[in-house]
Amino acid sequence: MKAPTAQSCIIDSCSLLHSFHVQIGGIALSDLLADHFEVLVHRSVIEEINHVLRRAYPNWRDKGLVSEELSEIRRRHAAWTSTKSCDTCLDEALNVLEQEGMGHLGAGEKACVALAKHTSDEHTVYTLFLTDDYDASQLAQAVFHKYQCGFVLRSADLISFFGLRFNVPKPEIHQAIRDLLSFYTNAYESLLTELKALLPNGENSPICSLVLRADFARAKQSVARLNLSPGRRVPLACLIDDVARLAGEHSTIGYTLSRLRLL
Amino acid sequence: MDYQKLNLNDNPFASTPTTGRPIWCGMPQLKSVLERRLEISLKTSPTSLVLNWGHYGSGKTHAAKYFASEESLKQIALACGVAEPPLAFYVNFPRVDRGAVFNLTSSIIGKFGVTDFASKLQQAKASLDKSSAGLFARLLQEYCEDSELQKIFHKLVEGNPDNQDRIGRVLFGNSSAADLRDLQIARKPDSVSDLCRIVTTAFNLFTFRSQDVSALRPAIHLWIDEFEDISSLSGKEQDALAAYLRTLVDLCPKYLTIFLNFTLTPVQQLQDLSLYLGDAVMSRIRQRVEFVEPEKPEVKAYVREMLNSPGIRVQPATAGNEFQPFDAAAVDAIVEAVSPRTPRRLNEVFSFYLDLVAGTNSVQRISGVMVTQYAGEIGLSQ
Repeated sequence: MKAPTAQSCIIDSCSLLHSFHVQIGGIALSDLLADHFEVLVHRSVIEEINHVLRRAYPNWRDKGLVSEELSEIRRRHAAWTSTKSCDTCLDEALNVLEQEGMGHLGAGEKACVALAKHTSDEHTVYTLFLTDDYDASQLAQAVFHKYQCGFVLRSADLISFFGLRFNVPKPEIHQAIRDLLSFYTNAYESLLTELKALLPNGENSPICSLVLRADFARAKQSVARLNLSPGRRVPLACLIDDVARLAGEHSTIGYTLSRLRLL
Repeated sequence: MDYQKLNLNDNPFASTPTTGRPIWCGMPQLKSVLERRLEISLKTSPTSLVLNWGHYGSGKTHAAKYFASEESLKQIALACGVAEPPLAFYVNFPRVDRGAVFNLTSSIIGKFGVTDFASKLQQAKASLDKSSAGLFARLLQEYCEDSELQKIFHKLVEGNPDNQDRIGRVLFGNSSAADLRDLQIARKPDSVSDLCRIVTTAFNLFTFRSQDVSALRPAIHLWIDEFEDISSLSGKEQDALAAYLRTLVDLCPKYLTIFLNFTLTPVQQLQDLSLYLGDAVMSRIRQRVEFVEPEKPEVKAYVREMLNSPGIRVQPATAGNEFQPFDAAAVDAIVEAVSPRTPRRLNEVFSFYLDLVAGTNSVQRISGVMVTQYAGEIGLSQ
């Protein structure tokens, strides 16, 4: 049952995508969010999830993370987002974010932070921003702190929140966080596969060893020294950054694991 | 490639474990720890779980293949005064297309093949029934409990070749209603518990011994490689796999050693394994074997043994020339610069230089200068 004045919650694309497949006490996280928060999803996030789902689905299916058909998942997304979609013009808030050095974030993440600020300004409320992306969460936190407009939450926080509030047995909360983790672990493995494909010598490249040991700084230095065209070097460096964001010391997976250890 | 001019028949530094009979070079301490564990499995009875852990490329897969080979096990059995070697299985972490537990069971049975599986069971039955009529059936009842699962074993030992394909389909989960009807089996074995019972019943029968009966095999070794992949399974699959391992140990309390090869990754450290396996399985782990990076002198010993391993030299290397075609300065330069010092990385680097000279006319030695000259290409720090 939603509280009379439910708190606004803005969700980014990855967190939203996974929330449909993580269950706490037999209920999908997406449904719990819809029931207990005033969820707002910006149009750009909806466009992003369609794109991301198409790419991620075959891997999810292969790894047994989902059993539904792609079309079924799409229908669920459409039904869920139809009442939460938000088209608000965010130009003003986006300008502020540019000045705050958030220009390099993805369009969906920028829209989320801008929407959070806009909602806070408009309704004089603190908003919640649900994101598992480490960079986005750090930058959003800085903006929220400066402009006092909200808080950042991760999916693992919300799984724990709902699990504890509803007295869900600990093993079930544990399993839900591990479910979430498996989506990110698979994303990490996909990035690693892409990286190996781009590296000269593939899996046998010393850069691969460095990445696998989480020595991302040295891996990037080694990429810089490789005799490669910029067209190949730049995507390689970006991929290493992506892996680090997902799997480094301060990362999506790192945070989720720490939540799991806290249980 | 012209390796002959380097007094080599081939490049011994394959970067991934080769097919065929594996050899062991260098790292005597690690070898000794693993041999000791295998000896313990032959001299004692309790079932144990062993966790082999280390970084990527530290030699876990190679160790598993080496110690799962019949030749290595025969030597260890001989040293322990045991006539038969243990029965060893090397399986990769199960894929999840039909469920991790199902695929793991299929991998184990697949390693035998239905014919061999049936033949081993027939040998066990003959030996048991020779000692006491009906002993096989009594043990089957004790180990298997479920009557439908017992029927599968009875059909396997009947030795009716017409039934073998059908039983194979039942064991591998592809049976049709007609198969089950023909075999007079009422249901498919498809739960975690069923699959575990099939495997453990076979293991228990193969290792059963008494005053009158000698075991078909003294012990069973199950090596599961790439166990770190458990983190990519869904929570439900992880729990099923953990339950399977726990049940495997509980239902086969004697003569089974399960080795889990676990690679540390940025997303998973050793302590995280307990998050997936739970306390019940973690508490059953009897030994943790760390695959550490060899020290510099050990690296040299490893390289020397690799270059002079059986079948590699055209002519035996002369004294003081064991690193041929590498100069002493070249070996020193590589050992000093290589990082990480894992077998995989060492193989990459030494292989690179060997191939370089093998493919270059009129060059037969690898000097320290050459190592420095090409260091950047293979990512050696200079």
